[in-house]
Amino acid sequence: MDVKQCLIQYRIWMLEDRLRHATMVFCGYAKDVLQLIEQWLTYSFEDEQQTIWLDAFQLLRKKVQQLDQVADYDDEKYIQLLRTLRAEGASLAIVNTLQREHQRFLYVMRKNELAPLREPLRRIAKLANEPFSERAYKQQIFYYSTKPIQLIDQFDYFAESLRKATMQQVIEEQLQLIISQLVNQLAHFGIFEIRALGQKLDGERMISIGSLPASYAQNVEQHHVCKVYERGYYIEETQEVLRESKVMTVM
Amino acid sequence: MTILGIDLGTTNSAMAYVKNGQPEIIVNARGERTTPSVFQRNVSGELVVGSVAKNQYASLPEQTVLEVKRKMGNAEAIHIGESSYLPEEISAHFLKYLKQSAEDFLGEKVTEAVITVPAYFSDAQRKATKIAGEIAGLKVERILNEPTAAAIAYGYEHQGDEKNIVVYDLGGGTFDVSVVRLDGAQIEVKASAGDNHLGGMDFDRLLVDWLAEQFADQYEVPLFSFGEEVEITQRHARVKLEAENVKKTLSSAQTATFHLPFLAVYEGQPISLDYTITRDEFDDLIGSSIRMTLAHTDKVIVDAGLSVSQIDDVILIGGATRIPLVQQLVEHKFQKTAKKDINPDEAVALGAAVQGEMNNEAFTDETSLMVIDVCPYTLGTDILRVVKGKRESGHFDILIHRNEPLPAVAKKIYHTVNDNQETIDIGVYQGDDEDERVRDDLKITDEPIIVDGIPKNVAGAEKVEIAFHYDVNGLIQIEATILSTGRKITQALDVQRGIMSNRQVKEAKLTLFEDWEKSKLATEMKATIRRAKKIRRHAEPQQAIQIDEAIQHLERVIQEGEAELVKEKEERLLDLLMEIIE
Repeated sequence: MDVKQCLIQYRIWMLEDRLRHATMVFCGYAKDVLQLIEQWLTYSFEDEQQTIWLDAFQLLRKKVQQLDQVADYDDEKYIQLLRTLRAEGASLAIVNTLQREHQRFLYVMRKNELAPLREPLRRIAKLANEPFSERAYKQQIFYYSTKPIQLIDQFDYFAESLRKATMQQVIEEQLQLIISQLVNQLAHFGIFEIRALGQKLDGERMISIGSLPASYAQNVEQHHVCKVYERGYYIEETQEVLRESKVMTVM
Repeated sequence: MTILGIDLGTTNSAMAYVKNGQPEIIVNARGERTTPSVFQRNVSGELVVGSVAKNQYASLPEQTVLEVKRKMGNAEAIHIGESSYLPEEISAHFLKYLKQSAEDFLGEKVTEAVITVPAYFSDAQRKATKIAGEIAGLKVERILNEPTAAAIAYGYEHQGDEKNIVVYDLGGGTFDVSVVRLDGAQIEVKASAGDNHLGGMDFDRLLVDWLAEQFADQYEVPLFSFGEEVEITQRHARVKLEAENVKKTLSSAQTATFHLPFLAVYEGQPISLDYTITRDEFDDLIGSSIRMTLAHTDKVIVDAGLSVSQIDDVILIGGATRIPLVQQLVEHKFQKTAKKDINPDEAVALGAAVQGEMNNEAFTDETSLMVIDVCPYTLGTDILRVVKGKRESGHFDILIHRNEPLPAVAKKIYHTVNDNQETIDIGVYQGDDEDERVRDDLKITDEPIIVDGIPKNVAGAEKVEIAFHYDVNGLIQIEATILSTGRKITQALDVQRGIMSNRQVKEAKLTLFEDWEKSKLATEMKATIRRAKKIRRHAEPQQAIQIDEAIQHLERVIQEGEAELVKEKEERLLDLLMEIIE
């Protein structure tokens, strides 16, 4: 592997590991959320109803467990790569930059903070004298964020089902709050939710699945979103839509 | 100068060009390889096409036009709110969008195109397609049959071959099948047939029905019968999306699962569905539809004067040909492996691009192909016959048979039926080879072509020769000669039902230009408005009111389409945002 190839390899690992780290952070949070929901279900329902809902809840637990199967961070491969770079006669500037990036990432990982994604990649691309591939970047983000996004969908469907089962309003609000916090954890992937509720229908960022009579949502204007059936997301740094929100509007 | 190859489809359109001797797909402005053929006036009154229009369809069904291709050549206007559009004007918007995307992609102006149409398209439908191109600012070099285009894409890679090939095209909503003769550098469509209402979307519906049946068996209640209207709509949308996924999965796996967690709550119980369907079960669902396509395939082979054993290759195009049962039954029928080396969604556009390049001087003789199309329908005139001693009008007399190679010329001699008859009216009709009577809805001419100046004579003495000329672009010319005097009357069928006049085309061009400029302006302003709304979220209440007002002003002037005023209001909004940020 020559210097250029090493830098390209570093860039690939760097993005993958940061996104894998994001998955781990997300998963940890989802597990905390599960405990809370289980407590609420036990508290809110009795007898047969409690059994039914706790059984249904197991589906969520299974999904979180599936997401938990993410490989550990392998520090050794970076050390190997740095050795190869030195052996290939890479400049001190290159070696120092990579070491610095690596230390920074280890730091944010320990602190469970947001690891920057795009900027360090651009810096390495510049060092390698290679163009930064937006497409490859988006593909990786898409790949790693798909499962967390699907998991949030499951939580949303579950909450929707609970709502239909005359859930106490206070529990419903709390459930919404913790799902929102789960959505906020997607910031680790550089992803944010598309604001849709109450907004004017926008086909660039939303997919309509139907419209409802004005009587259903009296405080929402015509052609504005009165219900979000599936959340949509965008990559903040590029403003690109990752998945459109699926919405219903007022007729 | 690039000549675009455009597959103007019923549900999706695609475009391609030839780069370094190879046809390549051009992505649209959103980076998509195909563009949904959906047209819409959106909530802000702007005209939008493609994915954005499709995404908004369910909320704006009355402001959206789908499958306009089925209405091409029809003079009936399509109403959207207070505006009305002819089908060719709507198609012009798709073409303009594709043209614009191609220009952005290539970095140069595009003014010429080859556009494909189904083989069964009538003369009026072909002309309407050509006019749509003209309105969009494209000189339409050629109207090309879709199976021909697919055969060109194939033939381009297999030059020098001498083969009979079947082009089997099963798309989202239509099925077409053609027999094409590849003879050295010559491509000739021998026969075409199809079904205008059969495709992959029908298979999605069948899967939804299957799931509903499983549900009804298990819960003894119809899946879409309980809950509020909003719940049923959501449920239906989820099931439909899952059915599409299941269909795609079954193309590569033996089983697929409808995984629909927490789909509904019935009698207080949360319901999650996990129904697995095997490929065999799916095959049972769609089997009869696929067998129907094979019946059309048989017919087209007979029409071409061939037998199954004389077919050398089968090309599968259209997204639904990815379904294994389709491939299996087609391959079983022909006892050979179907060619799948061409992307089924892109073959038509790629072939059109090659055809476009053939007209280009830069294209060398070695790489060029000669394309011969066929007449897609039978053409004839109405005559009077004496049946059992009684005169009966409205008999269909065929001049050009379906599947005759183009250009086609046919002549027939008719005589007068009354003493001293001085005129003959010629009506031009489409039909089938088996038709005995003309059908008024298939009349091509609005007004009959009048042959006058026939010398007075006894009935049957004066003879008139009628000739139909049908050229490669599907344009028909009628020529009548009074044999006793040599007088000729010639009429190109320019003014037909559903065809716009030159003046109408000019006006439509102007309207499209204005609409387009307005929509462009609105698109440019979207980023500014989005940014303003983002800043508004963290603004003080008074500042939020100011931002709302500034956005409203900007949106109002966008509606009026005054570019200068829009820029002025945009600047005002940007100044306000700067003040707030500082």
